[in-house]
Amino acid sequence: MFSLILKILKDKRISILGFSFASLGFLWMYVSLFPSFSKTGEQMLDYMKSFPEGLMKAFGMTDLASMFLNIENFLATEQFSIIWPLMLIFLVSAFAGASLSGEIEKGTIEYLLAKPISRLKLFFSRYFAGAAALMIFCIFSILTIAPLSKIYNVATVFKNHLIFGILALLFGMCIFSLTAFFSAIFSERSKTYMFSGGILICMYVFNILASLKDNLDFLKYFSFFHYYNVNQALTQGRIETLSWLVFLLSSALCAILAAYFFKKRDIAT
Amino acid sequence: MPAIQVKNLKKYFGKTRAVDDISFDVEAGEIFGFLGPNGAGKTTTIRCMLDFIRPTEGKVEILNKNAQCASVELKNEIGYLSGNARFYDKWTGAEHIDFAKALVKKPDISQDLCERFDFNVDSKIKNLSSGNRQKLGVILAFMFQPKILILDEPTNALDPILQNEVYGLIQHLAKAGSTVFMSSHNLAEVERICHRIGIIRKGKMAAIESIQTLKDKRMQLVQVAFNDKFSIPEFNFDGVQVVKNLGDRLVLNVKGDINPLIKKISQHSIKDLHIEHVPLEEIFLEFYEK
Repeated sequence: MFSLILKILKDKRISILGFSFASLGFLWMYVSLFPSFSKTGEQMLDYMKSFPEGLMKAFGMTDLASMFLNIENFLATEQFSIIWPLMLIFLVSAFAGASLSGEIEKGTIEYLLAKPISRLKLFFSRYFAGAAALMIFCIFSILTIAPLSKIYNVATVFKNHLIFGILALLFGMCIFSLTAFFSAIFSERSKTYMFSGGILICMYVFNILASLKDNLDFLKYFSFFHYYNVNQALTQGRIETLSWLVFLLSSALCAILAAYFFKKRDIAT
Repeated sequence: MPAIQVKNLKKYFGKTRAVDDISFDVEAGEIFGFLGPNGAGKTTTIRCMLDFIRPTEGKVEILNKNAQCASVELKNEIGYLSGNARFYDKWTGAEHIDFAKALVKKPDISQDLCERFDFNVDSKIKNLSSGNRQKLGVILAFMFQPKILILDEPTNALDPILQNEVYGLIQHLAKAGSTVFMSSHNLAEVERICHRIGIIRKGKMAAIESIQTLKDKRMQLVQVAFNDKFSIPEFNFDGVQVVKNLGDRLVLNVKGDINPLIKKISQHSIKDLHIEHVPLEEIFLEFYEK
């Protein structure tokens, strides 16, 4: 299994490193800009207050006053609320889609199925390779704050970044497992992306609607984005128990169902 | 005990009956040809044998083990080649071979095969022609000298010289005790290397015959030129069919025993007589079209 995982990671190294370095580039940019932003924070806040409240909520900018207080608040608003989750979603979806439905679509799965490997081993080697890719991405894009903050002399609470890294990993695993489930049951990548992307867009819309209308507040519980509370993790170093549970259970459920259906299904290229 | 046993195999895709209750055995050391027109169910049967797809009913046993339950174990003993073998574009041939070696821990003859097929293992798949990709498929299927070879139109995309090499390899492995199950559209290759054939048509087995029996059964084409008068009805009897009337001569098809026709012809004065065997392909096509 380990050699299979390594082989997959080697094949996907360009996309994993591409996403990781791009995300590291964003982090680098924000850390390097933070000292100058914090000096002109008051002016920036006045400017941002002129934006519609709904728009600010939709983009997770709820606590403007503290945005420039420290790097954690700044990154939570600028980097980890929009750009970073988008990159993460693209990375894990592409990985999961290409792994199973992509191999069936291309016909390369026959090369593997003709070898003495069980379907479960085949599935989990791809699943764990995806988890490893996600971990590499998170380390590059979150934990590199330590050297970057030293370079630019920015004060950080590394523990909070570590806790946010765990939350990000759980959030990423959840999306990866969901996409892996669709990848395990479909034979075309386009269907996998359509279904997983559709569900994620619905979840995103639910979260925004819940933040805009009080009577739709219940919708937030059906959205992974609600449990992905960046501000709480980065500024307070805390993850809600419900978030842990939702992410862990959803990931496990999707992975188990994906493995079950992949084992049972017909694979005809 | 047969090396491959297919018992009442059915595979339905919704209302489509891709394979509909077929049964056959392949003996150890035998080369079994599996023929049929496009969409007859050949590839579906092969995919059931390899556990890529699961039968709706019936079962497949290979080396006396259930092909579904003992799939992983059996794949150590099975070499598989698809006529449309597809590989990882970014890998080289060597990477594919090494990957197979890492999974099947058995002695292999991949180096000999690469030399025999003049295959460059260092080229990436995306740079290889379809013929070279097929060569890699052949190498991967034969490299562990498997007990069972399952070949789905194996000589697709190979030139005649390489086709001969593959026939040689198949015959060599069969002589060494391996069992070969191959589907093919190339009737000449089936006639040349197979011991027995199964013909599948619309998901059902139309016939299972040895090549020798088919050869014995095959039709003969008789051309006879007469010096005297003859009538067509006198040559219309069991097993004989008048194909053409060319005035002073007749072209006749004979199925089975030719002696009654010879007796009938001998009642006339003959100018010329020519008898030839109908190619085996004609017999295959007759099964296809039934």
